[in-house]
Amino acid sequence: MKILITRIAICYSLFFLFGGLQVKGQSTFCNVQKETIQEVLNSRKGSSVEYSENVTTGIAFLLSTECDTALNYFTAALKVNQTPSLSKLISDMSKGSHAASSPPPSAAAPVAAGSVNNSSSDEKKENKNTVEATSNPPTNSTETPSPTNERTTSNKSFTEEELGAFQSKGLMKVKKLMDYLEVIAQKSTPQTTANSTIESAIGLFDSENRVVGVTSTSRPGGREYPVRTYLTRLRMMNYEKVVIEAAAFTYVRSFVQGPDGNYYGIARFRQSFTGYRENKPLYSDVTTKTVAVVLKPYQKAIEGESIELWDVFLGDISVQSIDKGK
Amino acid sequence: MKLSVLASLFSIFSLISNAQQLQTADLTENFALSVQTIDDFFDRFNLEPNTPAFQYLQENYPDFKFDRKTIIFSLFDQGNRSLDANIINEFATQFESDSATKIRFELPGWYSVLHCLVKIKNKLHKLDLIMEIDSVHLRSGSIGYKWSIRSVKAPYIHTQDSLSKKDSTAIYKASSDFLHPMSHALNFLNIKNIFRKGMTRSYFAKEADSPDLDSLVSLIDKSQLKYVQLESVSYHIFQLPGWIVEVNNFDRLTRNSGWLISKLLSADENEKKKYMLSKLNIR
Repeated sequence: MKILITRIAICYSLFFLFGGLQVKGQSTFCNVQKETIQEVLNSRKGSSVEYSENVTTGIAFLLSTECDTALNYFTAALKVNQTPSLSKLISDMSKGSHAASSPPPSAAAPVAAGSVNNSSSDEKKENKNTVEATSNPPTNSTETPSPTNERTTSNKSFTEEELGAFQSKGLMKVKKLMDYLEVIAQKSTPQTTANSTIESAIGLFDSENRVVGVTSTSRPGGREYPVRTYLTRLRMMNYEKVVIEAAAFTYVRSFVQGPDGNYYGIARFRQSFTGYRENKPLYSDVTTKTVAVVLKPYQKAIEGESIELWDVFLGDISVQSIDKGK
Repeated sequence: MKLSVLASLFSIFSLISNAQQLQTADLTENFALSVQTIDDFFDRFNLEPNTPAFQYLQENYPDFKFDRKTIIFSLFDQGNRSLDANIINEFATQFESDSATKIRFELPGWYSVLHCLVKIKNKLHKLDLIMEIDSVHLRSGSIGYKWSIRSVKAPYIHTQDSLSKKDSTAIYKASSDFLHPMSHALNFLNIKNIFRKGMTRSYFAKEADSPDLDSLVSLIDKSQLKYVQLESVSYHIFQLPGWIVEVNNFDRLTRNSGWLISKLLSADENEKKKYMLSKLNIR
């Protein structure tokens, strides 16, 4: 049985790489070949959680071609376990030019030795009720209007009733994001579906530059991941099964207008997570996620005329880890 | 009078801190009763009927009657033994009436303190940024809000080189950069933006006038000070006549959790001014 589970896991990893990476149309990332990436992913089998966490996060950044940040994680992983495949990957990276952009100042610090239990496994969410990906097809992200990137001071004011309606729509988008997270994390979700779900999830945000900030009560400070990196990392979590329970209560804060004329609100929800490997719970925690909801204008062309319309989008996300079970 | 005695007054909230319940923590109920944000704290203190936690209680405990005094009791950190129960009772009694003073998010008289970690000459230092909600008149006639820097507090900051006259009289740059009014709910995830070279001044509050802020700008612009991380956040509330209230976050799996009162001081207006100067570096 163990062997079967391991093989299934390897198959999924391979499927992820050779399905997922093809979407991007690249064979190398930060000068690293796909085959090497796969070998490093495989090296997580039977390794410590700390090694596995750093490798997984590093590869998530690698696939987003954030080479410097990825290298930080791989270096941290190498301190835990000097696997040949990881050494080769780091060597390949150092031969490259690392032309990709540098991370923001506080971007994602690797899991430090001795702090493994504080790691941000908040991303490893899935639902207790297995989500049938095929029965819950992601919406086409192209249907989602794109907000204007420029910050403008709008003349628009809304009544309480209108704001309430937008608030309900914002909450629907937050719930949709929660559904997407479950689909993405679930190992039974076909890779092609996971890829399109990642795109749909990103389409809920007003910008791909939005970040997911992760903090823990037991470790001050925090780390940040761009949305795409966060979702990619979520997909790659090295668990064979995950169980998520969500609180039935969602806290929603009504909109407050900002100096740019846009309206800002939040939705908060709580989830517990348990990740299993070889049928044993390997990690569990409880997190509170806070999602910014922004009501802002976007332009739409109707019969040759550009018209300003308003819609709600998701903004940054804060993830607070409250309790570590394991 | 001990706080535990007062807890019997809390009715449903008195169940909250029962440690036995931690083992069978009800994910939903703990979360619903947890004080989610500082504005949720204000809503509860003010007994706003639309507060999500109250709606949750009404739906799930229709027989439970709560009043403002009970709710104010529930806003204290019940694990804090340094809080004097007599003072808490005096405080709650003063504001138990519906007509008693309420705390207003959009009004001045409350501050957020961001306890940051920064790096100067490769050494880590603590730095407190004191923030307030600033209002902006919009073309629509409505008012927008943002979080702005009111002051800075760090033992080393005034010892740094002072600004040149040119720097200190620099004109505020009209900027589209700002911290949106719900930044606090996201644990000020966007705070690193203000530590960018040439950008800090655009985040100043209208009333920010501390010379220490000029020193901070100088250090950032000379790349001598680098932001590392935000360690924690606390709130200091001066809007209530006769009192200073400090609120901190208690993230734990109990119903008495979230943003709760950790310190309560009886203070007249003069004492408030002294406190603001000594603790927050606000003149």
